[in-house]
Amino acid sequence: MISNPLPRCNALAALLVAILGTQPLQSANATSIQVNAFGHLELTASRPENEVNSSFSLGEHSLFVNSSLNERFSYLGEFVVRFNTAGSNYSASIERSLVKYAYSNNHSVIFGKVHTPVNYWNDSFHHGRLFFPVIDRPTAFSYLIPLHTLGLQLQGQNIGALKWGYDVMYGNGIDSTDALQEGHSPAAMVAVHAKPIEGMRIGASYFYDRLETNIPGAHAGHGIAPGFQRANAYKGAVNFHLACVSVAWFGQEHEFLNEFVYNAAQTELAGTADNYANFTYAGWRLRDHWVAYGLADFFRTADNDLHTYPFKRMKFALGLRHEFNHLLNVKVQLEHTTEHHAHLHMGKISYWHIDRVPGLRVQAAYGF
Amino acid sequence: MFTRLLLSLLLAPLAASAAPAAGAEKASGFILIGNRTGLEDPDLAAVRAIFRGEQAIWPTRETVLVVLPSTRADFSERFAQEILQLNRNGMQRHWLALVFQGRARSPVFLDSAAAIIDFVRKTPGAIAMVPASEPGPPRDLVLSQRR
Repeated sequence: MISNPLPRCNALAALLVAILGTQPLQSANATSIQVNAFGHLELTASRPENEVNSSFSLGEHSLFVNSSLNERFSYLGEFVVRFNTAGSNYSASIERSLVKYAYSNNHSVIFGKVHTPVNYWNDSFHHGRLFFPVIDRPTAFSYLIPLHTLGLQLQGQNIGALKWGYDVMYGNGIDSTDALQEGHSPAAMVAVHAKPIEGMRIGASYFYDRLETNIPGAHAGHGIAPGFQRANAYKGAVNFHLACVSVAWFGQEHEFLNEFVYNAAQTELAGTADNYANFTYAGWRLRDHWVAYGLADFFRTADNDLHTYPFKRMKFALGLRHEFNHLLNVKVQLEHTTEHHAHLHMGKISYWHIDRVPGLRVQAAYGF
Repeated sequence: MFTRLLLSLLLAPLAASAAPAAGAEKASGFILIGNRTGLEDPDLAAVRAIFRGEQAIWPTRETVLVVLPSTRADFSERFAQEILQLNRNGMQRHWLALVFQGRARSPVFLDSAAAIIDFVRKTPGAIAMVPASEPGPPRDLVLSQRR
């Protein structure tokens, strides 16, 4: 009897097929399609100036499909439903949808919408809060990291004694949607990594895109700094360079992750804006199911940046994670965030407003 | 060669903390079985890499299908620790993450050594390990014995 911790569920698969409005494939039987779901719940309490906020929230829930189409081809899809804070309803999105062709051992060609593998986090975790070592993504994921790319990817992994890997990607850029790329300015990315010892992965990447009108599409995940509005933002072209370096070490007793990001946003109007972000996480396994951790998350965009706009943020947190099993964990995190919000007058920064917010967050993340 | 030497020196402290408990490298009381894999008595490091999902296609061009003991198999904890250097929870978490990343084909988890042997016998490309103490698998499936 097969007892898979990644349970195969025909009913969910059928529901998914029905939702997507497609016909089930003949081969979509119990041995060729696998469906998982991931989700999380949160309790947040924070204390900005002169007030106390607390609320429960239902986090994004994702349905994950993995199917072997034949010996060499496979399909992977991730479909997310989340509460739309701008309105008062739910919105759905296709976060990943890709066909992979493994043409030789550990070398593949991928076509579709993927998590842009610029760094360890985006390649390894993304929507699965169950896999997050902490509660939140690094701040850079809301502003600088191109979360998704739709296009063509060459992938290699576990090559040679150092287990080298590479990802080369060419696809719709930050300013595109899932269905349309205005003009002809595709994004390009190259990334390499190595796994010199078990549990460790070291990697670096370079990503380039030219945003003709400086309007990011929804799938890129690029926000604008607090206090600024995209409608009023610079509409000229931006040459967007991004370099990332990741060091990840997830051993049985110790965990460490450092994500460094450098971004150069070049415009005719303001020249080159040098932006930096760094996220550091360290975890210690206290007992079999308990992990204590700390994190420092630094983010800074330059005063002359016209893509993200000026913003500084620093977050420190201490937390405790309890892993009931591989499908359920709970994290409790004490954090302190300092944000510097720029205020403009006549196009120049007139002053910075500083917010200091202590907070407590509890998250239950699960998969089934 | 120089790069590997340099990395070995730099990572020596981490490698020391990642090293298995004394004796774990001597794994173990398991028999490696496979169906049309093309493998010939691989060493433990190669076996560990396979069961961590680091190989996709066999030399025979068959697709790799890793078969693992489920939580109901009484040897699953020992298998996870001795072969993968993880605990059982860690093994399942490792594979869940790997499949979620799209970097490996889903493994098959089975409840007993007999079920594993039967599955491997019927499935080209499948590979598994069963305790050496179990009634012997067919000779043509055995790739190596580690006692």
